[in-house]
Amino acid sequence: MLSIKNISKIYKGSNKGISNLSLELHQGDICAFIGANGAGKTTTIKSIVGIHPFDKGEVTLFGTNLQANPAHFKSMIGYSPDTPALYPNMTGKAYLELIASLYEIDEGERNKNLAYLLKELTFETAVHELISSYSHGMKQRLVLISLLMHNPKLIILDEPFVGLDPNATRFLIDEMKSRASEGVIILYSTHVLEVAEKVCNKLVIFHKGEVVVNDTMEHILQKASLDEIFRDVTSDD
Amino acid sequence: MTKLTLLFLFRLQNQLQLANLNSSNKDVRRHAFYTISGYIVAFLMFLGYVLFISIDLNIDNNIQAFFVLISSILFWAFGIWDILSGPDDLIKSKDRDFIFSLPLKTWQAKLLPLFSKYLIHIGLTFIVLMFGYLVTIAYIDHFFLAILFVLVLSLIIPLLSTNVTFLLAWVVRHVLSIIKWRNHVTESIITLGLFVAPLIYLIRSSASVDYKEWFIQASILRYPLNEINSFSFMQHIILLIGITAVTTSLVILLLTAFHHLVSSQNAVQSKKRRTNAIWHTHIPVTALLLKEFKLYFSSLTYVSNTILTPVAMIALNICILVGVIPNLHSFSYDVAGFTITAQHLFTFIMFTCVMLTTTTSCSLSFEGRRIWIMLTAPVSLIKIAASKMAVNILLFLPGIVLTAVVYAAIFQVRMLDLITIVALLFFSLLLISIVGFFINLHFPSYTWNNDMEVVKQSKATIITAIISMITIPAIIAVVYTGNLYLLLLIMGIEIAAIIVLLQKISCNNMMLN
Repeated sequence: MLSIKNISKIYKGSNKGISNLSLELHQGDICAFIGANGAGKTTTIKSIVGIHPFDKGEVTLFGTNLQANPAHFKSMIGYSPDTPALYPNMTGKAYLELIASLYEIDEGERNKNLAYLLKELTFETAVHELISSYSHGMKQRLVLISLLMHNPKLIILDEPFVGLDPNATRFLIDEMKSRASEGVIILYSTHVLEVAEKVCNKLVIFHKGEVVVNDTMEHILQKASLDEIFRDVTSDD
Repeated sequence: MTKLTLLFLFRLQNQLQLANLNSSNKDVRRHAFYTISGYIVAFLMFLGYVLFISIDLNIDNNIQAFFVLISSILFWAFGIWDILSGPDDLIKSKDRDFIFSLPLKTWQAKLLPLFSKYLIHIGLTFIVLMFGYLVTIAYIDHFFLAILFVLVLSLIIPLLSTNVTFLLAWVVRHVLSIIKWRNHVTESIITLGLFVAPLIYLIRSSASVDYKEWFIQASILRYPLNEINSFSFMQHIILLIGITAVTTSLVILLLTAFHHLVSSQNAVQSKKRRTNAIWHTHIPVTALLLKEFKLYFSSLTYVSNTILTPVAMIALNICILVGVIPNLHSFSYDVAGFTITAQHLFTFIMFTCVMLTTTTSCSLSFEGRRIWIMLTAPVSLIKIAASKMAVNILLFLPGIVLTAVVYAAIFQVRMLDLITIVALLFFSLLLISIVGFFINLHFPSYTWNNDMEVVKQSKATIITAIISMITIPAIIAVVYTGNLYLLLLIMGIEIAAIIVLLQKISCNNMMLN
């Protein structure tokens, strides 16, 4: 279970950030973070994966505390940032070898997963090219391969569909559903409400650094459409 | 104001970080303030040096050679600076896409980085030469001719140094690409080596040990100011103008008509990559070390600015071992009552080389926006630190080993002294590597757009360089005494500092603020 308790993060020199955010996700949950730009989605995600320190609160994953045992916590997650900045002078293969080494993935598991992911994401040839020659979408696909390669228990994706072609998008949606059915927790931020409505069982709506909706998708959709609810709760009037 | 002038001023404001002084972010404002202050202090120090040169030449009754000497120093300084910065900013600047998307003519977009560089260098040269003109005005006979001469030199020196270094760098890159031997280390060492070769040759063939004589010999200006109205002086200036015009035309031609050829050299190499189907994994520390080497060698700026001292160590040691430097044992120099022998001088140079390294002070910042990979990976900060420090140590290791050989074979020092001095050298290197990393950890900068911002201009690099410069004289003074107990004490202090810093690093939770 992923447990986020009262985390707050305010950026130095501004009042922007997140305050008192609490959330619980269980095995098999697919949760979408939605909200306007600057609402706090990315800040929350970066706090959960250990990029940003938070001012207060705690994050635990299956009993492992992020602050107390960051290396073990991070070994259980797979993260894709909103902008996939990678080492341009490495080939995709060298990057995947680096990630496989850092996550200490078993050779058999690595080879099996790589064969599957490289094929599904049509990356078998591109993996030998330099990353500097990749498009945004190819970098996204490489990051997806690297994060799925070690079979994480928690997958966190920051706007994962930006730049992906229709085939890769389809693969990602199927993979999210399939991994969730195996007990993996999936959390992602998005602006695409239609996909969130179809894929997720949980939804969190952010507005000005605070969680204004945190409920199951089923419960939310009983009241109104996602689009109407989003406009309603993020309206300042 | 024309579009081009506006764009030039906009770029200049960003390059010099003037634009960041108005940022709403306090940290960005502070960083800009420190950087600009650093530029101003460095420039004022240079002007102070110009004043010192005028006094020094006056004492030698050679003030008429002032502009010859200043022209030489400016030419070589700009040239070495340009080589350390690399030619890529002129070929494919970081804001290339932005410039090419603007409603400019193609040739204007292609030449904007070159003209920006020309104008900045011309401005700096003009200020220095005008300052020189004012401090030597009492010795100038033809005021207006001299002013005209300063204006002409302000154009010739920066244009010639920029052109020569660019053409040299391009030729070296092209030849290395043809013989398929191109990498950033080879490229930067050969380019710099070829550029400074005439200077080194003149120094070596000079009978004098006076730096002024060396630079006067190596000056692009051959005639002193008191010959300004002579025909040969005019002939020489016309020749310089001609060479400047030819080289400028060549550079402009390369960057416009052959822009595609010049900018595609990288791509040509990247196509020839092996498709090895075997996957390799390593233990995390080895994987990090391999990644560090790839990252290090991926930047010409990073390599150029940090490889000089390790290479200088190796070169000097080899020169001594093969007997290139004659009369080594008879060399001695008296400074303020202290006798400096060849062994002393050798030791000072080795310690200065080792301590002046700033490789680790920008190693964390060099990750840039890719820092998320390290931050989200299940590895401790101490492993990341170890891999980054190991790169620096491995760069210096051949030099340290050769130093030990020189001590034993050439200076024939006792075994105990040899072990102590080499151990002190190693611990000094380890300490400055850790200090650099530690400072970078506290003053990181991941949102840079140009390698130069972290390699040369970052707060961490500047602080580390200042610490090195303060520490070097202290260590050298102790080494000079040759007192074994003092050397062991210094080593003990260094080891204690290393342990404390390592503990602090291991307790640090590296995250972005």
